[in-house]
Amino acid sequence: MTYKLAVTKAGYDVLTETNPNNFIFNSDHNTFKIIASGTMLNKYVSADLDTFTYTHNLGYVPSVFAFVTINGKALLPEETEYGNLDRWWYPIVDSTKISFVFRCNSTCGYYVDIKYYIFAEPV
Amino acid sequence: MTYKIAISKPGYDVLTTTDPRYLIFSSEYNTLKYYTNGTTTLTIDYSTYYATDTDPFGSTLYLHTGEVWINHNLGYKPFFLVYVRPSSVSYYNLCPYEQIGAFDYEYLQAYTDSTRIYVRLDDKNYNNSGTFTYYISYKIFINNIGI
Repeated sequence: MTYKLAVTKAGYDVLTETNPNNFIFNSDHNTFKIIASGTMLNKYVSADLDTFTYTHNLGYVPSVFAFVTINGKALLPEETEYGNLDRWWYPIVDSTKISFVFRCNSTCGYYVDIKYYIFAEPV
Repeated sequence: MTYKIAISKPGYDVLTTTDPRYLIFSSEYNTLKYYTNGTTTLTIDYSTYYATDTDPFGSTLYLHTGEVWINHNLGYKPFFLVYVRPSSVSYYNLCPYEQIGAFDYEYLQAYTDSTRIYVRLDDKNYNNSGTFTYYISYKIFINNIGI
C-alpha cells in the first residue's frame, strides 16, 4: 500500500483535490531541499573577473541559487549593479565548488556580500 | 530524542536513506516558503530620454530608463524571482532580461531591499516616440537572504 502526506490550501478538499497548485504540500511532488546555505561578506572586487569560491565537495553538480548585494540592493544572478551597467556578476558551479565571478570594465574597486543556496537536486 | 519527518522517493527506504537527493521531503532541510506573487507592468515613454548617442552611421540613439516598485514590507531582503515578457513577444524571461544589438541594448533587471522589489529598465535604441510595455510577474518567498 502506498501512503502519502498532503496538505491543501484553504478551501480545497485534501481527499479529492488533484491540482498540485492547490496544495501547500504534497508528497507526490519533490521539494527543493536546501542542503546548505551561507554568506560571504564584505568581499572586495579589485579587478575584472575577480572570483570568490565556496567549496561544497558534493561529488555531483548541485542546483544552486545566489544573490549578491552591492550598495544596499540585492541582485539576481547575471545582473548589474543598480544604476551601473559596468558592474555585474554570475555564479558557476561544478562538482566541488561554486564560484562567484565579478565583472567590471572601468569601475572596479567595490565591496559585495554574497548569499548562496545549494539544493539537493543535481542540475 | 530528536524526531523528524521524512518522505523518501519511490524505491528508497525512508528509514535508511540519508542522501537528500532520494528524499521528497526531510524536516532536516529548509525549503523555499512562498510569501506572495503578483503581476505588474512597466511602460516606457520613448519620448522621455535622458541622453543621446550616435551610431557609426550617424543615426541617433536614445537612452531611456524606467522603474516600477513592488512593495513587500518584510523588513529584510527576501528570496525572490521576477519574470518579464516584453509586449512584442509571447514568452516570459527570467530576470535579468537582456537584448544586445550592434549599437543598442535593453536590460530589464530586478533588485530587492528590505521594503520592495525594484524592476528597472535601462535601454538605448533608435526610438524617441511612442511607448513600450513590459509585463512583469514576481514570486516572493519568506526566506530571508540575510545580506
